Amino acid sequence: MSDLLSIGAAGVRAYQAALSVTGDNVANADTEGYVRRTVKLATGPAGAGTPLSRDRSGGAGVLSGPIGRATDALRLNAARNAAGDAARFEARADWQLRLQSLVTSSDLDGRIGGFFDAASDLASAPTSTAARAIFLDRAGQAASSFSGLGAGLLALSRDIAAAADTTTGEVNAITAALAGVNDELRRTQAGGNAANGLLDTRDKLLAQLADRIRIDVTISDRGTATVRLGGGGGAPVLVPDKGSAVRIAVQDGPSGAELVLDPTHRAEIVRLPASGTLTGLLEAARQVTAARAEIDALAGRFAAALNAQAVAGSDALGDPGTPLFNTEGLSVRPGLANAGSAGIDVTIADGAALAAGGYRLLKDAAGWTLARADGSASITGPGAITLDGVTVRPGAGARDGDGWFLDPAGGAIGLSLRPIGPERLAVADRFISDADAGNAGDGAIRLDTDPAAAGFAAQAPYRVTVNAAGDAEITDIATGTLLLTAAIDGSRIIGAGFGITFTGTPVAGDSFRILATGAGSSDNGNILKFGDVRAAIGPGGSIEASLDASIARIGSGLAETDRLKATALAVKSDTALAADAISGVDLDREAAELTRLQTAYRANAQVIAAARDLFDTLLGIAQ
Amino acid sequence: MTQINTRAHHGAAVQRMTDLSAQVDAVQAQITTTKRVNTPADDPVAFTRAATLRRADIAGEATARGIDAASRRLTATDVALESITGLVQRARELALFGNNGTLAPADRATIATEVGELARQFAGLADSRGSDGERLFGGAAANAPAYAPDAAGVMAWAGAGTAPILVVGGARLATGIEGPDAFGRNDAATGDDDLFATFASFAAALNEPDAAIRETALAATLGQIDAHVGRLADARASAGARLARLDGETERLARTSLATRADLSKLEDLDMAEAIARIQRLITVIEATQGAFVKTSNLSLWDLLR
Repeated sequence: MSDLLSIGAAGVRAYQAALSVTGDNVANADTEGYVRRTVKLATGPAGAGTPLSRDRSGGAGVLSGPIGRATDALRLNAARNAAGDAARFEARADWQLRLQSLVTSSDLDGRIGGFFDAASDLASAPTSTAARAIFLDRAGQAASSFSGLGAGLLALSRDIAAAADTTTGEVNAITAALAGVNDELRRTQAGGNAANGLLDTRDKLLAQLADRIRIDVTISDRGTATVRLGGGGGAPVLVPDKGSAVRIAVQDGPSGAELVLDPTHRAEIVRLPASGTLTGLLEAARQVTAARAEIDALAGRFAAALNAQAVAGSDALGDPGTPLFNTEGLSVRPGLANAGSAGIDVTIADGAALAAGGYRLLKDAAGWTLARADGSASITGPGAITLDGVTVRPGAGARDGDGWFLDPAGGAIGLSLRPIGPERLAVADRFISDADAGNAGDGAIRLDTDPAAAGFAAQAPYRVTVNAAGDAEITDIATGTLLLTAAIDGSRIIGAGFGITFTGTPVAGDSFRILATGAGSSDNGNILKFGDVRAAIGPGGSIEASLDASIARIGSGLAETDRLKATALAVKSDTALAADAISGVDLDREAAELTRLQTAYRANAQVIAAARDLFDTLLGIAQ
Repeated sequence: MTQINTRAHHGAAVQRMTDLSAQVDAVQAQITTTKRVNTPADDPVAFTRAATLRRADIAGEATARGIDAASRRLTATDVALESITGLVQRARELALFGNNGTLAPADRATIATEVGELARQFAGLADSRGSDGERLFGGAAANAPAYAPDAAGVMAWAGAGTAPILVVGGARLATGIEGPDAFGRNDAATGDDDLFATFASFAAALNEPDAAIRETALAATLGQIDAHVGRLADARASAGARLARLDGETERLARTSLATRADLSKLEDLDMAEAIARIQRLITVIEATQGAFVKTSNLSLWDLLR
């Protein structure tokens, strides 16, 4: 009887334990990282068979075994990796989208086109001051679009670098926490609530880590995790089974941003892992670096080609042309330790020769000091100060000790329109020519500007006459002096500051004049050549085609990432569902479980009641 | 044994509905902009091609503006040449009339006065200006009078070079007529006179008292005038030919622009009927998904536990 009582009591205890596990499951149905607990009931051990205890041949009662966690290591691993893949493409798509909208919203394509269209308009009205002013305005727009995009790309790469730094900080915090969990697990008895909580924490940390970088996890019998970075046997260990975690960092390398292991000791560069937010960030950083290089190269090509063409012409005052664009600027970088909030305004005088290393600006009790970075010259003053044509106007709010770096900025950022007036725009060629109205042949001459050409002493204007032998005689119109006789055989004749090419068939006696373009000329020879610059084929085609290609590359990079992201998200949700099918809580199932366990509990309570009845009956017989 | 995890089930259902909403959003954006390609990522190839076409279209507009300017200049040139031809025709009539021996000296003086007036009118027209104030007959020297007295005090062409060149489709087109081509030039070797010299010698001949010398001079003047009429007709013909060429280019540009826009539309524009059908279908799917979600998540064993 007493064994029936103890069997009933064991049953009640066991089912109570099982019921509380089910209750725990229901309570944690919506807790992230909670793994469904299970309890296994086992037959109780055989007793000693004393008069007060049950017989050896009797029932054994029930015991609730250790509380287990319903997990499947393989499915969990698959879910972790899939989540990391999705995180990689999500991070990459985020930043690529920003890159794309930066490039499209700069409207660089439209501004460059507008500039060349203004050149075409100016060619139709070479003497119109309005057309010249519009052309200069468009040139300024194109330059500011370039520099704005350059500055935007620089800011974008700094933002990505900051995000990558934050992510490596998170990775280091997670790996440190995992090392701590490993230590705790070695000290905790398996199967208890404390151990199960630790295992939940471990899995949650592993999932968070896998979201950031690709990891390879090995779980020991005690539940401690060894985490490797990336996959494969040679992969470096991030979190050892026993001991402290290895830190990671991101630094600039020859192929762009790189991942470094143990930055303070070994500083070993490791291959980019295959998944995780950090990988996505570093990939995006490399794309931005590539885009910056392309835009910088394009800005350099644009400025160099147009400056060369502008210099080759003659302006409205009859003087040789001057360059259109400045190609060097300064970008301001506040010191990291600045306590104040002052803004710095920097202007650079036209034609200023900037120091190669840039400049440093410092605020102290004595005032503001602007110095070349190499220390070869400096100037101190209370407010606006100028050195090498660089004028710095500090805003309010600076504290003593604040510093700024003025880094030399070439490429797109450094591009700006020089302050030139409409009359200084070189629309005309330096030399013009006309054919005599009495010419019998249909010959014509073509001039090209060539400052190096010195076939004879410069003495414009000249007359080119075809003599009886069919050769060209170049004479000085003012004095009639014969300067040069050259054969007309289609080859270029070297003049003074120009070259001459004959077209058509000149007849003996035909003559042409070559004149220096005077002030106020309506010649449009030089501005027409801006159209040739537009059509000129360089690396990647014309300037605009090359820009289109860069934009298309950015766009197709984003499109590819979006496609990969969609796939990765689908895989992520599938694998997460598969893992959750084991580990998650199904409320209906728990409800059924609850009903079943409750019934069993009641039945066991009934067993105790029956045992008591039997006992009472026996006691009654004894009376 | 697999099970349906309640939390994951909810999450998955919500994710599916979010995806559907995102698709509706994308189609709606396409419908509001009426464009299929809104960013480079939508279709990188079409985006690049569209950028090229749009650029060609805008450059075509700039070329059309250039053609308009050149047409204005050539039309103004033609008008000036027509007036000058009228002056020369009148001078020819006066030359025939003045060659009549029966005319009284006073009548010849009257004719000489009219010739002087014609010469002044011509001098004004030879310095005609275009819409930008540039001299029509001065070539590239646009801001100085086209004709000015030279060192010897004789009116001579002061221009230089040629009128601005117009580049259309790779061809370089002349957009003006230079003074010497319309009005001749003074050449002692061939005995050619420009129109200024012809008017001057005409007036001088009329004032010649000796009848024999006068008749020879007037006959020579008549010959010069005939040559000028022919040269002016040639100049007007070439101005007309250049205008016709520009008209042809304008038409070609208009056709090219039409083709370009048709291509652009094919590349970028949205098939509206298809898009609207798609958005309808998506909305139906969303509503069905929402209904099914509400129904299935209401099914719970807990409701049946008492």
